[in-house]
Amino acid sequence: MNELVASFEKQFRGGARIQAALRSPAEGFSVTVLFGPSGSGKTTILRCLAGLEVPEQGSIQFAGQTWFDSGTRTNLPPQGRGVGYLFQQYALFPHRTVAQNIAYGIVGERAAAQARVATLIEQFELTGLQNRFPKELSGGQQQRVALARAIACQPKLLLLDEPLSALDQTLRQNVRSQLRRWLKQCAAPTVMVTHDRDDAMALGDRIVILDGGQILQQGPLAEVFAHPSNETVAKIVGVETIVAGRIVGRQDGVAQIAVNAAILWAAASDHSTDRVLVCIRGEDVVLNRSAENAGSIRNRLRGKVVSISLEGALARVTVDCGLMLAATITRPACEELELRAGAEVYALIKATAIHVVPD
Amino acid sequence: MDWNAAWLTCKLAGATTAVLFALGLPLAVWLSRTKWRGRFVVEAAVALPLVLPPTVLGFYFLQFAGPHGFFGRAFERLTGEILPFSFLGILLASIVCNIPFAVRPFATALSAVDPSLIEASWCLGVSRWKTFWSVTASLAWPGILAGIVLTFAHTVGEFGVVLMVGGNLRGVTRTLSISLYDEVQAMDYDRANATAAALLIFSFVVLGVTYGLNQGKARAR
Repeated sequence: MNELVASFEKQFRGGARIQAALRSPAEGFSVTVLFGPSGSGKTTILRCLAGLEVPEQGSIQFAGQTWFDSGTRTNLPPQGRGVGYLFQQYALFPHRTVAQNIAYGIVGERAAAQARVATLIEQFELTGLQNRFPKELSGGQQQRVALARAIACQPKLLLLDEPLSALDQTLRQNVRSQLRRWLKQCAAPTVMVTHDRDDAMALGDRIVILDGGQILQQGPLAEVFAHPSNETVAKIVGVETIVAGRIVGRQDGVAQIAVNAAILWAAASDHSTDRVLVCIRGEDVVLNRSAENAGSIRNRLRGKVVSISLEGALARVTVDCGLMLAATITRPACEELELRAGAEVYALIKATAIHVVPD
Repeated sequence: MDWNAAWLTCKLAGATTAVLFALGLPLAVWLSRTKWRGRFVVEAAVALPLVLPPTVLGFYFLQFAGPHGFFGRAFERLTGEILPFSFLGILLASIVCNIPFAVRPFATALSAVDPSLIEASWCLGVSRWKTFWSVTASLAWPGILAGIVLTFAHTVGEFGVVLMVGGNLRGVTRTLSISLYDEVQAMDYDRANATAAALLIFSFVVLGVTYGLNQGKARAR
């Protein structure tokens, strides 16, 4: 009962067609992330939930209340849904001050409203900026005002459209950790759209994977990231290595998989087919100069470094060990191992870190 | 200067502006938001009086609202009066003439308002009507004001259609621009000079104030 249950279709004149069937908690704190590449229909789904876009077919129920039903021609306007919506570019009213923006939707007694605004201004670290206009604020401050305004009327559901995309990279990392704390404080269930994997991992509890207007998989975040249901989901959630293989043997729930010239061991439940795709995430691959002291690690592959690309504190190393394997390690580790193109290394992967999906 | 004509001109311009504000604003709101494919037809119809000679408009107005026209006969049956050579007649004609001067600036200003601001207001529980006044119109007011001023000023200077529909009846349809025409015909150049100068100064002051307000607004943004 206390769930958001949405199942609808939206067809755009240009031809794009969005199909959504999703469930998400409607009470207490939780963050559901709509995740997918741009153009996958994430924002459209969010706008349909808010009532800003009307689907052609289907229904949206929130905690037992019908927000939309094409069968009974019910369509609650945005004003009646009690949602808080954070727009990608914040949509602050340029002709109103910070305090006036936050107070805009609050109804009721003047004194109570003022007290609420004062609380929010303190909570969102906006003290001293009450009388500024939006254009006099930094990006981070604007975002906090927009969030304060969205939660000022105590929404039943918070909808965030790419909440961090308008911020620069350094600020983004700081805000990412704060945002979850703020959302927790306001204790409303949240649905958030993002195409950034780090945002999704840092903020989400549940995740809905979208591509081309379709929902491909949904569930608890860790589960979806660890066990993508097919190749497209694996690519979207950022599994770096996806290769085709063939199961050549099974032993005590561990499958022996032939991939090109290499043999991999993977903890795989039974599959109807022997043709499989092997998914390995870059951070699950350990690189070492020798295969000794590998302990419980079942897969010890000898190979040559093909390329190294440095990204901030991380190094992405491609190793040819019969299959092309992508490993994500820290930069100091890369220097310590004196890795360079052509160097010989061992790639170590636990059998439980290799995920197998039917091809 | 003919003060009687000056008063009549003000009355005509004021009434035209009031009617076009009340009717033109909803039309402009619709034009600025609709995604209907046939919108261009309405836009072209709205802009038509800009390029059409006022005499053409006046001619069709007489055909339609004159004693033999469909609307004119219905009006006569209902009220016992005829529209040509009456104040109501020139008012209706001048409203039609001035549609683009009101609706176009209104629509331009309204469509410049970021739609996500309007949606943000709706999501905060504020009704469409209240959102229009507190967000859309509040942000678009320089353009709306420009439309009002242009309509008023353009009605003051209207000549052809008023003459076609209203003729030249003192106290009924003789506006300032028509009295100027009369004065020149009568070779009364002193009076003509006063009337022409008054119209020139009025027009310049009105436009100066409008552009000044818009420039000040632009700097404040």
